[in-house]
Amino acid sequence: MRRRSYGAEDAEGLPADKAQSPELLRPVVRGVELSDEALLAGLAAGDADAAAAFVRRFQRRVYGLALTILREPGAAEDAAQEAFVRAWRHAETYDPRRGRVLNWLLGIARNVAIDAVRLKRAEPLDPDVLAATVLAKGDADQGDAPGFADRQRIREAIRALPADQRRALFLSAYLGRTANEIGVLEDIPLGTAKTRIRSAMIRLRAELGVADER
Amino acid sequence: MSADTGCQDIRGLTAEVALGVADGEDRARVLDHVVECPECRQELEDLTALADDLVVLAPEHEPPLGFELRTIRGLQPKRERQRRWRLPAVAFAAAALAATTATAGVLFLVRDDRRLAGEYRATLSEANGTVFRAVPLRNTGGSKAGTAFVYEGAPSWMLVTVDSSSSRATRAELVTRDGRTVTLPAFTLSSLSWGGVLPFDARQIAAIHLLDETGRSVLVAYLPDGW
Repeated sequence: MRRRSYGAEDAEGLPADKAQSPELLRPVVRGVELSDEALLAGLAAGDADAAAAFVRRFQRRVYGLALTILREPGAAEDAAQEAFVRAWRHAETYDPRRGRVLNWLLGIARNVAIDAVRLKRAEPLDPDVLAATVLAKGDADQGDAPGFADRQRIREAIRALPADQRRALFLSAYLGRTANEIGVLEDIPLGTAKTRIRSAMIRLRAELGVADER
Repeated sequence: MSADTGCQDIRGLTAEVALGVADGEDRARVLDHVVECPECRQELEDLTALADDLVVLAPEHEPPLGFELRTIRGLQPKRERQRRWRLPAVAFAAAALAATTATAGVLFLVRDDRRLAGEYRATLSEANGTVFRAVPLRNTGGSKAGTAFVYEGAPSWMLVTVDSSSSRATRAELVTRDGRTVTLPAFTLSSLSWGGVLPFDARQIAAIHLLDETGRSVLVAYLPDGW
């Protein structure tokens, strides 16, 4: 799968094609900073320094996502740690053509956190609260941070979605709820739940795609 | 069923597959179909990339102090396993070294190493020490931004040096092997460095955190177990 660009810079401040280059699998030094891919390669090889640097670089993102989904610091810490362990165990399976290291790692963290929610049989978080948290706190994102422009464009596109589609989107994207589960939670037919999920995604893609062509 | 009708059915499922919430049967149908259909494959790729980017919107949050250390410790068994696997290689290397020590060049090297080891032991014993270690201080991006030199002796002491990008560190905390956090009361950076006596045996230190005025850890160094 190729990584989508929304017309702004890549999250690492590099063009998307450079960010995915297999050359970055080698421990290339950018100034004094190793690339994400190089740190992941070091983690896979059992390099202690690379493992420490990898955790240090991504811990706020992984813990932040786990806390967003689980809402409880202790559970979020457990989930974030488990996400790093799984990343370490499966580091060899990372394929740079399918996306950035951050996306790959957050995908793992999302799955771990969703498993934890299901294990506790906890009621899923209200998707409106979840959306408000993600969108409002995201505004605190710094304007000069790498990838900020892309993230802002996605946030604006999400805000523009009809409320029922936005709820379905957050229930599936952040809480891992299936169309069937969303139908029960929202008290709507299965077909309506599926339509809301698809409509939200297609509309976002169209919004972001239209902007790309400007 | 015509090809168009097939695509229409598949596109009713691509969003759920991209979000990872489709059941196994639907997922298999979609993946089978996109092998032969470039249009549907393109849509699936676009939606998958979009789904990945949605999760990246989650706000960052500073984890509790000690999270890094606990996490890194959780990644250690593999390294220990690898070390065991390396044992035969180490034994082989030792045997090879023994076989070649008859040469004069190697004898000189061994003599130099012995002299260096003797000087190191003498330096340590001067302050009743047993170990001296230098470890990298890493910033929030994982890059080296300073060094911590730690001496175990009577007394134990530590010297830290940082680069100019880390001058905002105003506080130092030590995390001990038993999980306690100890603040160094006298810590203050002067000319991008600080040195001082430690309040306990330096071998008790598991991690060294330098924090900014908000209490956020801006630099960290780890000392391995049994150093």
